[in-house]
This record gives sequence, structure tokens and C-alpha cells, in this order.
Amino acid sequence: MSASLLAPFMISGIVLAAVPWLIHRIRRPERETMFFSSLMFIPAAARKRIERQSLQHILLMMLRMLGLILLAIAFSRPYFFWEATSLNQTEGASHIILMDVSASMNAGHRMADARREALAILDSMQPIDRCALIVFDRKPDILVPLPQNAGDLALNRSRMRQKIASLAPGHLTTSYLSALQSAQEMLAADDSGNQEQPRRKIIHLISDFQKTGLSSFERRWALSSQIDFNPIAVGAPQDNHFSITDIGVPKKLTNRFLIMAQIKNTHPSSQDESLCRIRLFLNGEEKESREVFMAAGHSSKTSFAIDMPEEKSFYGWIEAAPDSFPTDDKRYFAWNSSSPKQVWLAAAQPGETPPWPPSFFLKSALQIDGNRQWIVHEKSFDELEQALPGAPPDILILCGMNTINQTQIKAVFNYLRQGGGAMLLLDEHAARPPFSLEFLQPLGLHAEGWRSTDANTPTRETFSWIDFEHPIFYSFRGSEFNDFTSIFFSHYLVLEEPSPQTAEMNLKTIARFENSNPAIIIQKHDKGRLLIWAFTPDVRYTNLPKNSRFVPLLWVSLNQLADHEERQDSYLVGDILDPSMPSSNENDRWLITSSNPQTTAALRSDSTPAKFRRASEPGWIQWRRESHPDDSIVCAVNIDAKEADFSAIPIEQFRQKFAASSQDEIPGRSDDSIVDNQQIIHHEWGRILLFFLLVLLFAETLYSARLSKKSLTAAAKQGVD
Amino acid sequence: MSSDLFHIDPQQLAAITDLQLLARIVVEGFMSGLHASPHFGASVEFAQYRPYVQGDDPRFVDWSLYARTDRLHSKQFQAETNLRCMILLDCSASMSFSSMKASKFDYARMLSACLAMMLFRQKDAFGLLAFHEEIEAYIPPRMNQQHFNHMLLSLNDLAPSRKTNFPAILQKANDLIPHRGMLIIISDFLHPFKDIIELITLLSVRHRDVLIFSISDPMEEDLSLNRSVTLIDSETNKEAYVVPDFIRKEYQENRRRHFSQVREECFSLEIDYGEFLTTEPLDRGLFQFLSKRKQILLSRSAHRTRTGGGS
Repeated sequence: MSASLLAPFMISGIVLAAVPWLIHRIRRPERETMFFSSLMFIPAAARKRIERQSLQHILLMMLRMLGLILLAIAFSRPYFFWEATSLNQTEGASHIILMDVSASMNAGHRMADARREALAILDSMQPIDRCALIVFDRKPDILVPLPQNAGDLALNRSRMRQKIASLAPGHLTTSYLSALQSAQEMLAADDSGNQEQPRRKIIHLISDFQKTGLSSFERRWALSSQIDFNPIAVGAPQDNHFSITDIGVPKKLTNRFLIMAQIKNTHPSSQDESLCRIRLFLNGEEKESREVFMAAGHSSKTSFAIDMPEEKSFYGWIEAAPDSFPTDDKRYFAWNSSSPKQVWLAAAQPGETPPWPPSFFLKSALQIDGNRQWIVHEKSFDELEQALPGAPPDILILCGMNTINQTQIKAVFNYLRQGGGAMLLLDEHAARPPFSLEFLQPLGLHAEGWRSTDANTPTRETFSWIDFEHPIFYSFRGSEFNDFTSIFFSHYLVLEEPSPQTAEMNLKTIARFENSNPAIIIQKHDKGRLLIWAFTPDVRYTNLPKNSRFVPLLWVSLNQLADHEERQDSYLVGDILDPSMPSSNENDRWLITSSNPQTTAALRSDSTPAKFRRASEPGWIQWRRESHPDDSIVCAVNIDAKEADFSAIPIEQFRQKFAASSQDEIPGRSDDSIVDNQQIIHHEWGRILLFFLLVLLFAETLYSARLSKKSLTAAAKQGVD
Repeated sequence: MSSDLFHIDPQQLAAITDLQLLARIVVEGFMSGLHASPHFGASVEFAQYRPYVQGDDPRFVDWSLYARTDRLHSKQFQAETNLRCMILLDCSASMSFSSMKASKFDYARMLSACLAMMLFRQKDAFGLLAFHEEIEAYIPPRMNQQHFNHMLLSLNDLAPSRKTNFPAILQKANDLIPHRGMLIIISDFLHPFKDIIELITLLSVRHRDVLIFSISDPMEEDLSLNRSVTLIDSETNKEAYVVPDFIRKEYQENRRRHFSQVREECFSLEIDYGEFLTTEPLDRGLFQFLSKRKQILLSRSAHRTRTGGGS
């Protein structure tokens, strides 16, 4: 049996014991003192009385000091603890074996070790003990539940052995919290134990204890104090060596791609640089290889430039030299071409515009070399009137409002009502009829006029406010991109703020000039969307076309208008696959192929709609339209790179994190004795001290009263004080 | 006997810091008041006759006696019997107590200085041993002006401190002080006397002539305090809260019992013992000393007469 304190910091209150001593020193009777030659003739009785009084006061002081010391010790909550031996031995114990089957368990002999440990636990159990098996990666899965009847014990054991022997690690990430919560819930729901004499409850957690399995955002959660927690670590930290942790396929030029990969040497010990051979496979064939030198704990990036002419989609992988954890030695990538968007650019008539009209910059921005996203067609307003009803474009850009007439405006509104996306770039002509009356007024906007300032003076205005929460500016919210002060405007259209009464017009201002005039407005117009710039990208009026933010802003704006979303080409194991089939209709049939023939067969036989299927293993998956085999989509599936990080939590630290905290548990309990997760019986005895303290206070009061009475009697007798 | 005219209050004498001046004032005042010759005990004083033996100085032959008796006799003088005197002065912390201007130690120091002056004038050798629990100062007995000055300086430098350890000091004094001679012990004797009686006996046997001066403060005599007070023992620092009215009687009885014992023991050992209050003039002490000296010289003369030996 040992003793300790639950609130050791409270023991510092022991310094309060000095208070009675100080009072004793300060409050000594203030009597006149005199140095006398000798006390040898002073009667002994008088001296003894004085000495006795002095001793009594010292005793009283020590009594008070003892009281304060007891108080400090009581508040520091002392307790005894000893091994619990008196738990119910006749009912047996309930064991839950939690086995980690996350991707990291593929490394080395981890899974074999885990199976061996689980079997050893089974062997060590008493015949009356019951056990359950839960495997977990990012979610727990109950393989063998706790048997409810004593007759099922033998069957329970045999099922446990069978399941343990057949366990195989998956490719998902680790989450300890959900697994432990699940195990605790199972034990809590287990009502077969006698409530008066509870069973021992034990959770055996067999894992490699990856740090990544614990989220720093998880709230503090601990196992119940009734549960004995037995974490068992398997695997050595040096299991892994090289892992490919990231991969990307940016397109650099027309038909030229850069395949970039990040390789990490996860070896924990410091050693000289190791050589790693990296190989690139494209559409199943090895294309290139190279060697990378890396020191332990370091990362390195490598890239391969490849040309892929006439390819709508392709896949591949980068492979490092195989080691004890082959899962992270290979990382897949995929690339799919996207169908371009049709953009009609309706600008002012030639001859009425400056040498570099706004349409020039717009066209240039949308036709960057190698870009297939936008197909720009220049249209006149007359063409617009005829073409819009027949084959509407994805996006319509209107620039230069000097020649637009009422019929053309109606055609644009019709286009918007049918779900089109239009972008208005307002110039000085927009303030005049018919545009201001026929176009802006129905939108709830009123053009007050063309604001003109001297371009050579510092009165040029900038954006004073930008709504960075709006999707158009959201990508600019970072501190590196959110500085728009370098863009200035000397001319722009002053638009009147929509009044509250016109709120139903769905107008939203997302950028303002310095005098709070709206700069960029977006409006939902029936099914369509309308984006209004109160300025035009004319270099006479603004430096926006020459600014580096022009192209991104234009692209994001057009994407927003076209409601375009980036196709996801890469998934993690466990993610729902959403290949976003291009222009598909219900009659189209898609043929599935993948890197693993078994997976291919499984996917083909799966009747689940494609958008509900989950990626189950690393590799690539390709969908081909049966009617047009060239029309294909491919995606890559990889394991979470976190699983390649084998940094482990020390087992004691893990135990402390999840084991029941004595400090948390004891206050809520009605009795002083508890059994914690380590099967240790705690007995807190601070209350006994408090009882002694009460007795002591009573004694002190009595003794102090007696001394006071004697002192008063003596004073009265001597006629002094 | 002393004359009241020359009695000077020791409390006033204490204001004189020059011990030599103080001693001269006291001793000369004392001497001038004596009826006897100030040269009492000087070397010219006749002591006795003895038969002439060959080698005696013919100057000391009493020719008148030879004329009457037809026998040669030589005169003997008291000058041949000068003594050596050692003063043992207690300078423990208890001697510092004073209820008046002069403490017990001041009084003892003045008395010692006066005794030294008197001894110096009578051509006697004198020395000093100041003590508390250790020997604070030791000056072997000599007789010259320089020695006298040295002794006064030493007395001036002394200050009462520390405890008294009478038995140890008397033991050391017994070893240190030359045999034979006069021994004057000046102390407050606030020590159980039974512890030191044996050593005093030994000293009196070896030195024959021991004179004890016990110095007390008037307040010590009767505990004349009119208020309750915490008394702190100046040597042990022990405290005692006392209400004087309640303990005075018992205190005085204890004190009387102690000094009666000292007195009786001294009497039985034929030791001259004198008790002095710090308010008493120093003359009494000096007179007691002179009486003792005379007694010593007379006894020595008688001894020589009986034995027929010379000095």
C-alpha cells in the first residue's frame, strides 16, 4: 500500500503554519523588561509558573500550527492506493480486444505481431472470461460481440480465434478515439455482470500507436474508471523508409505536363543520405526513373516533365524502391481534360474604340496559350440578337454599351432568364438611355453618371472594401493576395446603391470604391446570374488590365457565372467517388476498369450508383463511355499520407491520455474508494484529517479558553494588567 | 577610623573617568582623615629587638640598650615585611546591574583602583586578575609607577560581560597567583557559595590572607520595584515575570540566607568578609583593607619573633 496526493499543489498551504508562529511572536505580552543581575533569589514557584505559561502558549501555538498543517494536507487530498485483489473473481472479466487494421499496419510484421498478441490475450483469459473483437481504422467495426450467455463462451472463443487469424490491414487512416468510445459503449451496454459485484472490464488495444491517430482538436475524453486499459504496441519505428507523400499534375504548356512528387525519408535514426530510386509509370508503362539522395527525416520534391499529345485523360503512378511498408511506396495520379466553356464577347463596334479596347484585354486573358477552358467568340450586338435564342453560350460578356438597342437588351434578359451567365462591363455610355433605362433600371440600379478624375493626380480611387467571403474573392483572401490597392480607377460609372425596398432584386455588392460607390455587383436573375463591373478594363481608365490580378479575377468571375466546379481527379481511400461524367445522360453506359482486376469486377457488379461508391484501395479507376470509348474519365486513389508517418506515441503517454484521471473521477463519487483503470484501489483519507481537524479545533478552543481564564484569574489575583 | 568630612558619594565619583585621579582623591582624603600616621607600615617603623649576630649591620645596634645591659642587640623594622597583594575582580555581566548611576562593576573598579593606589603608596606589590567565565585580564604583582599606571589602564578598559564561572576561575587563580600574599576578591557573589567554598579554603590556606568584598546594588537588597516587570537574568538571559510585592519577602529571605552562608563560611575560615552597597563610600573598604594589612604584618612579626628567623 502506498500513499500519494491528488492535489499536490495544495500542500503548499502548509506555509500557513507559520502564521500562528508569527502571531505568537508579534503578540507577546508587552511587559516592561529589565536586565537583572541574577534570578537566583527569585522564588522558584514564580519562575516555574512563568515557564509553565510559556510552555502552554507554545503548546497552543503548536496546536494551531498542527491544525493548519492538517487543513493543508486535507485539501491536498491524500489517498492510499493498493492493488485491487478483491474484485469479483467468480463472474470473470469482460475483455475487448481492439485491433488496429489501418494502413500503417501493413508495414513489416505489424499485423502478424498484432494477431499473435491478440491470441496471447485469448490464451491468458480465464475460462469464465468473455471477450469481444473490434477492429478499427478510421471507424470501429465490431467483428465479435460480447457473448450474452455463459453457454456461448466456447463458441465465442473459437469465433475470436477464427476472426483474429483472418484479419488483414486495410488502407484507411487511424482514429483511436472512436474505437475506444465504441469499446466503452459495448462494455457499458454489457448488462450480464452483477451490478452489486461488477465484472472486471478490460480493453486491450493492439496498435502501432501512430501519432496521427490522435487529433489535437479532439476534446478531452477518458475511459471510465471502471475499465482496465491495456495498450499493447506492435511494430518498430524503423519499419518504414521511403514514402511518397504527395503528388500533383499541373499542366505547364500545351500538351506538356509536370508530374511533381514529394518523397520523404521516414527513417527515425540519423544516418547519412540514403539513395532512393524513383520511377514514373504512365498509363501502365514505365517512362522515366531517377535517383534521389535524402537524409533521414528529410523530404524532397522531384518532378517529371512529360508530353501527352492528343490525350483527353491519362493516369500513372510514381514508385519508390519497395521497403517494409509497400503501401506508401506508390502514389497514383490522374488527369482529365475538361470540356471548354463557350464565351461570347459582345463589344463596341470597331473604330469607336481606342487602340487597345477592353475587348482586347478580355480576349487575351481568356485565350492564354494552352488553355482549353474558354472558347471565346467575338460577337456584335446585332449578331447577339439573332444568335442568343438559338444556341446560347455558357457566358456572355457585354462590353461597350454605346450601340446596344432595346431589342438586344431584351434578348440578353431572355438569355439570363433561361439560366445564362452574363458579365456587364459598364463604360461611360451605360449612363445614357436606352441602356440605363432599359437595362439598369429593371435591375434596380440607377446610373448617376460617369465619374471622371484626373488620371495624373493622386485622386485615383481604389477598391475600399471587398467581400472576401464571396466565392469570387474567396480565393484572394490570403494575406499574399488580398492587396488590391495597386489597382486604381480614374473613371467609373457611379451607380446608386440599391435601396432596401429593392432587396428582392437579389443584388449583392461585393466590392466598393473609396466613396462607397458599388464597384462589383452580382445578381441572380431568375435562373441566370449577372455580374456587373461598374468600370471597364480600359487602360485609359484603370490599370486593372495590366495588373497581375486581372486574369485570376476574370477567370474566377467567369467560373462563378458558369457555375463551374473543378473536377476531382484524386481521392483518398474511403472517399466517395464522384467522377462527374461529362454531358452524360441516363442512357449512357460506362465501362469501369481499374488497377486491380478484382476491384474492377467488384465495381462492375456493384449496383450502387457511382456517386455512392467508395474508394477501397489505392490505384486508378477509369470510366469509358460505351458508345464513345474515347470519352473517358480517370481518377487516382491513394492512402492518406498521414499513415506513412510512423511517429508513435509513447505507450505511457497514450495510457495517460485515455486512462481515467483520478482527479476527474474522485470528486464525483459518493464514496472514498474507487477502482481506477489500472485496477488500483484508491482510498482518499483527507476527510479523516478533516475530522481530526474538527476535534483539534474543539480541543484548541477549550484549551485556549482555559488559559485565558487562568490568565485573567492570575491578573486579578496580582492586581495587574 | 574615617572622618565624615572626606566621605565622597561613589555615585558622584563614578563621573570621574580618570581612575588615577579618582583613586588619589579617595585615598588622600581617606588618609588625611586617619588619626594614625599616613606612613603607617612604612619601613622606618620599629618592630622588635634581637640578639646581635656577626654580620648584622652595626647601624641597627641599639647602643643605649648596650649601655644599660652590656649586651648587643639589633633593631628590626616593619619595612622588611612588605606584602604582595592580588586583586581578583569579577567582571561578569551580573556586575553591570545598576539601579543608580554607578553599577556594581563601577564601584568594584573604583575600589580596586583605590586599593592599588594605597598599596602603591605603601610600597607593596600589587596585581590584578579580572575574570568572568574566563580570565579577562591578568597583571602579576609588582610595585612601580609604570606597573601602577598599567593596572589603572587595564581597569579602565574592563567592561562587564559573560557569565561567571567561579570554581574554574578560582582553580586557575590558585595555579596562577604566587603563593603567599594577600588576596582580595571583589564580586557580587551571586553564585551558590557551596560550590566555591572548597576553593576559597584552598586559596586561604595557600595565601593565608584572603579578603572578600561583596558588592551589591540597593535594589538587589530589597527588590525595591513598585511595578510588575519581566526580569531578564543578565548572565543566562532567562526571563521571569515578577510582581515584586508578592515575592519580595521570599526574595529577601533567599538573599539573606545566601549571604549569611557566605558570611558564616568566611568567618569559619577566618576570612575577612565585607558587604558593600554601591551607595556606600569607599572608605569602609579601604579601612577594612588597612586593618587587615596591619593584622597581617603584626602576625608576621609575631611569627618571626617566635621562630627567631629574619625576613
